[in-house]
Amino acid sequence: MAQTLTITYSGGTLNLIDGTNYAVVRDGWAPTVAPLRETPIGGVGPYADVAEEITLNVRGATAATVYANVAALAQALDEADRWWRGDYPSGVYLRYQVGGGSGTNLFAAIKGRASGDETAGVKLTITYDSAAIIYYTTLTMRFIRYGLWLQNPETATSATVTQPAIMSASLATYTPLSPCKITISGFDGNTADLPFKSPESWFVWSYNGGLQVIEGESYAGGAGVSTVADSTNFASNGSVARFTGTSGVINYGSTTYTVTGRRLMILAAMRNTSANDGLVTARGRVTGNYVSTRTIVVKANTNPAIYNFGTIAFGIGARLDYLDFLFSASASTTIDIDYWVLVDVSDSTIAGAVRIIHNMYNTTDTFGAGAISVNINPGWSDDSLTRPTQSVLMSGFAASGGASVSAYQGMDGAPSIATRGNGFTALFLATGGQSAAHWRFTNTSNIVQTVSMTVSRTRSYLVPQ
Amino acid sequence: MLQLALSSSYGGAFLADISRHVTGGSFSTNVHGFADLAVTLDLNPMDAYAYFTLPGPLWIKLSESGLPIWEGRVEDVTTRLDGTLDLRAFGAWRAMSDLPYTALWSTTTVDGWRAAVATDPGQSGAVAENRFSIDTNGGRLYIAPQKNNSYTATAQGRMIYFLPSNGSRGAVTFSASATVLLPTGWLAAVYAYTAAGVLVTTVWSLTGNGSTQTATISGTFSSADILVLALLWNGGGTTTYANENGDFYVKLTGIRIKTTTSASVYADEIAKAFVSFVNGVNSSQISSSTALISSPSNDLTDISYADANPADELAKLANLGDNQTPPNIYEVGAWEDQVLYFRKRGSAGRTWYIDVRALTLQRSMDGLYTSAYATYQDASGRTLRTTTSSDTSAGVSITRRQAVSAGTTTSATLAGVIRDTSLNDTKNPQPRATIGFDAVYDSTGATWPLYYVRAGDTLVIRNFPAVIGPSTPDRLRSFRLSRTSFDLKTGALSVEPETALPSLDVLVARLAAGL
Repeated sequence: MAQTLTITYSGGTLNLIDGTNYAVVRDGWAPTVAPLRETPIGGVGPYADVAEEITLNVRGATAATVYANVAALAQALDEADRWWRGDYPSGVYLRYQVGGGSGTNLFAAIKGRASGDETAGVKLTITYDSAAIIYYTTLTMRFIRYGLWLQNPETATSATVTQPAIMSASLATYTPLSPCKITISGFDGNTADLPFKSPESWFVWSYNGGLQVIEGESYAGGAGVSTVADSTNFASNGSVARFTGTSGVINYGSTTYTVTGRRLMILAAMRNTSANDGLVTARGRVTGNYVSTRTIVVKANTNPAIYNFGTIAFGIGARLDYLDFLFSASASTTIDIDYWVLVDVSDSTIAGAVRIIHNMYNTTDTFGAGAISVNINPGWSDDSLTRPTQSVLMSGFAASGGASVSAYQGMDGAPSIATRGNGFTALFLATGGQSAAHWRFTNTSNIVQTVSMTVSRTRSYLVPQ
Repeated sequence: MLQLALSSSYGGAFLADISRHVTGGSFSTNVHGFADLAVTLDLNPMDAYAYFTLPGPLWIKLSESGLPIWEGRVEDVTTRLDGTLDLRAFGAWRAMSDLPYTALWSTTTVDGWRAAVATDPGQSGAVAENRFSIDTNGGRLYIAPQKNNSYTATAQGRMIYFLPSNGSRGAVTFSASATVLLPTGWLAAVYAYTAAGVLVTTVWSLTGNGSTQTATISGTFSSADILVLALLWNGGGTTTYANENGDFYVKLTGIRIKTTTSASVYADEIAKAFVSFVNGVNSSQISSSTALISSPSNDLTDISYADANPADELAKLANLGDNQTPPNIYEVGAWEDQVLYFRKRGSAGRTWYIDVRALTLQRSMDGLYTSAYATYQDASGRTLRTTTSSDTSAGVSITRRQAVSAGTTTSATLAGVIRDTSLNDTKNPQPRATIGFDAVYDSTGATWPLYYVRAGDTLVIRNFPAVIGPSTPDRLRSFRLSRTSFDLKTGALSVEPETALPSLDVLVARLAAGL
């Protein structure tokens, strides 16, 4: 028998094994193990929801007490259903501690009733147990819960870095796939009445060692390529690689790479200062095999922006030898690369990227000095109890009325952030700030923004332990 | 993992992440890019109604790490009392069907030329009806004075041509070969007018000298909507023509009117104009970028649109082929970021390798042609036929010949290209196949998520012997895909080869665990 089995909802915590109000009947319940989801759509974790069935006696000193206890169960499942459908603020969760287990306070959010639930739509008959001097009714609860059991979160914080430096955080070793919430802090909004001046930013994550930032101007060779100083616009390391012409290549040599993997995602900070659109393709080579990404259009007369080329993949598991950026245009174009990023996404459950679209603020909002933070919720961590949707929340606005407020941001990509080990690395990448021409996000003092990252990991359990 | 999100428009305000609400759905791609996406969402009724009543069209995007897997505009919205919401969206190619397009690009025929009358715009006070012989016989423009009629400078013989009413483009070049046999004092001329009848310019003129004169007309001028060929007495006062009918005349042959100053009208210029036209009206629906439009380098001599659907017309242009030997068919459509592509078919496609676990393969002669000729027309509208071209490289021992329509072109060269394009595409046997596979690999052997497979990509069966294949894809061991469909709930992929035939041509893959 379990040591703990409770349901928590707005009315409090219902102890299903207290023997006074509820008692699970013998063999009345055992946890169901969740399978993997078939769908590739994120936001709810990689494991499917499961249906739980608990048969229990609902007890009370009077028939009225029994009915009140049944009503509490029904209300809890009602709230769970309404929460999942989006019209109730707080989640309902099942908490379970197996006897002799080491994982404490495991919980799983309940998403609502399952077919056959007897807390609603059935006739309840009260029985009087004269030996125990108690009234009771026996019913079977059936509900849907998240597939994974979660523990309370643990956190780790990275050092403060200047973008596009990699942020690293060390967590205690725990190998099962576990969701992570992220808070990026340190944005110096200063006191001016400024909205967040980057129209978009990127959060990129992988395991420790799965990220690499490579300066554009560190190329090994190419055709139509040159190095151009652009410290005025805060180019990383002060310079960019420039392609000029209608056809050419910038290539990066074999000694450049520290990241290896079967699938590598490539992002780059680029701009086009010419009047003609240009086409750019990233092409990787491993032991003679070339693999290309799809081609990206870099439109004419554009300010710096982060572009995601997608992935290249290698079945032979070798180290990347070369990476080329191939350029073409119908008329001469000028495309600059400040830096590019290599991400090992071989295990897509622990690596990825999300583009954050900063269009969700009120133009009358202002920033408080140093108070801005970006909070990324994968949708299946403990945060799901308050908002069961993957999301990016920006906090620290000083609204026109003076109160601190926050606003959910737009996002492109599923921030299904998780780890399998103890290391977590990430990048916060943004252009713009005080000028749209800036390669890196600058604050009101015209200084490249420094940020840190706090990882809040919720250990997950497929089977309670 | 993938994300499904709604925005107010492409690049517009982010509205909602709807990933967790998806209870079922699928997306498809076809030869024109992203085809459609249909999903059912489980929402509370108020949210469902809110989405239902939002002004549209909303933009829906399925993305992986910010990279579009599918995106398009939501056109069909259905909601129910229980809060379920069905959304159906179509890719950016759909925008090319939003607006009818009218414009002349080039014409070399005499269709549309007629005798001018005084009520035509700009012709009042200039035309003498019924005093001239006027015809378009044999693809010529011909005007001749008639015996015993009197003529003044305002009693002219005129032929008139109207560009499509309220079209997007005006004529800017006129070329022809002129033969002029006129007495002294007579003048032949070509004039350009606006739609309102205001003279733009005199494109060309030549005064008679009693002898046969020839000239090559090549005029470039400001945009005009009306062209006129005129024959007039320019010697002052009144003259009476005493010669026999047909003794003197002006005759134009080999005429060409263009609405571009480009020496030739290539399909890429038209495609770019379509993009500009649609983007100019619906800037949020198609990108202004023409970076993915390339030229087939075939001069389109006769191309005119009246209330035409740009999507349909682009598809026709893509099928005309290019000037290579053998000609390549083009593809047109739009993938991510609403950028229209018009390029050699398959040039941007990826090649995927599969190991079949179930196979039924049937070869058919349906659709197989080893020989072809094209039909086209001369300037007067007479149907002409090219010589026959044959290709038996696939080893078929009989001749199966196809008559290919080259439309209204008067160009024997273009007709030949269209013939060869068709022959090149139909000379190999067409397979019917049902193939089952579990995963797709790239050339290095790496497995890829099945949702990366798109129409236009090539699928190679790598555990099937290369028994035939003069070209890639050979359509037996390898297929170019014309359609893919991915089930968002189960992760299953269905694909169709480009030579989709009525019976079997569906390949089905099942998402392998972990992909």
